[in-house]
Amino acid sequence: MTTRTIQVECLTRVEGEGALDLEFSDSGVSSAQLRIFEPPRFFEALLRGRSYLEIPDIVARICGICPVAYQMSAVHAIENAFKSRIEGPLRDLRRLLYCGEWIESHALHVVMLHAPDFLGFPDVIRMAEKHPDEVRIGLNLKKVGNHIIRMLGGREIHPVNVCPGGFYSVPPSSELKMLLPEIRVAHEQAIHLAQWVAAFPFPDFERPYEFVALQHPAEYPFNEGRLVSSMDLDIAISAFQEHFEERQVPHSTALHSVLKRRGVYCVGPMARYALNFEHLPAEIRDLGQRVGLGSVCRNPFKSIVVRAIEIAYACVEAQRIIENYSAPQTAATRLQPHSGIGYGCTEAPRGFCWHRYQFDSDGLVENATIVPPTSQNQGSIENDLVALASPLVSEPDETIKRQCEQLIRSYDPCISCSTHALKLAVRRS
Amino acid sequence: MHLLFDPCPKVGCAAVMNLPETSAAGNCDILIIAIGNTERGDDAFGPLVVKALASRLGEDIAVKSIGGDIFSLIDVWSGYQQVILVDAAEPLDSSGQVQCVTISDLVQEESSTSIHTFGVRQIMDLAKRLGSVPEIAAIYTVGARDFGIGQKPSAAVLAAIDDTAERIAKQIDCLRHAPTRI
Repeated sequence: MTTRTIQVECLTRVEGEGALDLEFSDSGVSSAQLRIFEPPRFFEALLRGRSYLEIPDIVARICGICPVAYQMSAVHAIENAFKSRIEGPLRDLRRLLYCGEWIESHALHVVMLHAPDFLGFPDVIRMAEKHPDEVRIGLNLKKVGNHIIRMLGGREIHPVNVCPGGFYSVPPSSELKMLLPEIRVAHEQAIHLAQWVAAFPFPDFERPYEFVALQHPAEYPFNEGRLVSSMDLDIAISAFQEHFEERQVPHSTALHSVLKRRGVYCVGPMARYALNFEHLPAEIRDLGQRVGLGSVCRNPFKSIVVRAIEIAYACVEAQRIIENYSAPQTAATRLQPHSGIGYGCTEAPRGFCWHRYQFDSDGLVENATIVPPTSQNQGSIENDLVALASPLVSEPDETIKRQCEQLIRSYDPCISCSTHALKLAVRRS
Repeated sequence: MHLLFDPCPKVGCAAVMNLPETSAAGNCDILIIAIGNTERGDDAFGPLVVKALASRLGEDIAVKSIGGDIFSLIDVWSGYQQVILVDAAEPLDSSGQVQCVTISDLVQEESSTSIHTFGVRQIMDLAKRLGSVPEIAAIYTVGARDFGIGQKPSAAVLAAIDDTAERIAKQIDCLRHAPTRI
């Protein structure tokens, strides 16, 4: 038996550092491993002994692209533990904050990171020569999403205004309404973006996923709901650990999450869209139909279209919330800490983000468990890679690498975040 | 951690970090942009230089800071004729060494390996293709090694701040007299 190994040492245009190992044998792909080699950061251990009041600001540091997701799951879990429920304008503001995150995160991925794959460009810089209008749209959508987060969170990256019970301060209605003109423009741009990406050439590649996402009886899910799947799963978020487990694998510093009964599953935009299509506003459902997506998408390459549609949805939802908003009398509901366990689960741009905290009687964390979306999708990515690469066995390595990287990027994996540093070389005559 | 560095960011439209920013694009031709994260060691160089410059700048000089989203550069410098960037960089020789370079001195990377390695050069290349890059730019960089979360800048980088502010102040004086060229 001959073997052939293809390695992608550093995945490009993903958030964080990872690699891919593909091994071919005579019978096809024998192994596909998404290697995440960033060191673990031990946030769950870091939280032990901390006050519940500190959690939102600490967990926001897990990710620079989706800090809101971590903050939202955390505050819901804290409130769940202390038997408090946040309703009315504060709940709406949380949804609005999430709209901002979806818009900026999805826009970044759709235009800057993923679109170049479909159009044959190595990166967005080269793509901007031929498609400057769409790149401008991407930049503007990102700006609008950031603006929403800054308005409610104090700053766009690692916002600091979220607290258990609500916010440290809330904007008056007049100030919030100042966002409306730019969100209306973003709404139109998102529709254009969805139509643009839907016309990309997509490989014919559908997968038999078990989708898992939050489902709410009345709304497209951001902050709450039950965990349901495209098979028979329908559970309260507190039952997550009865049905799912995280496993260590030798090739990754990230845990792999699996369904105990069936193994690999898929979270993220495709799962949300398939399981919640009927809760999208009519105009967004129409948009999905118009761009040829239907109510379910099982082609991971087409997840770029689903993301564009979710940007449009987030713009619609943001407008609805702002138009109906009147500032609450208090920025936060006061919580009474006591010993107990709380669960929170919200929909990050890349899929649901599940938190569990155990508190002592003073509200100090005794135990924390955080399950991010990317760890849940790793198994699905590896299965997809096997299916995609097997028929490509006779292709050159570079072709296989390119298609596999494009597939991985379809999941918008968020491996970690870091600071910016400028790489410098000076040429002097 | 934010309590140490930016304790009370304002919520609302005027939310900015607590640096001496101005935004009167209509009245200013020259913009200084500080790039950096004040919570990550040597990465605070740009914001600290701008802070040191604050009392020496006239109303004709605009100041902005970019804390995290490098893509916002394209929007921030829109409408200005001349831009001075201040940023931390990989050290050429030693930490704390300040260089004044131009766009063409910056490394041209083949393609981005992650969104975090979208550098200033790449953003400028992107902006050029979108027709929104300022005509002239000077870039002050400091050799930086320590980007630890919650760390203070290294002594070498701290020592370079006043000198860099002085050099920029002198350059601005020149620009005021010959505003078409840096």
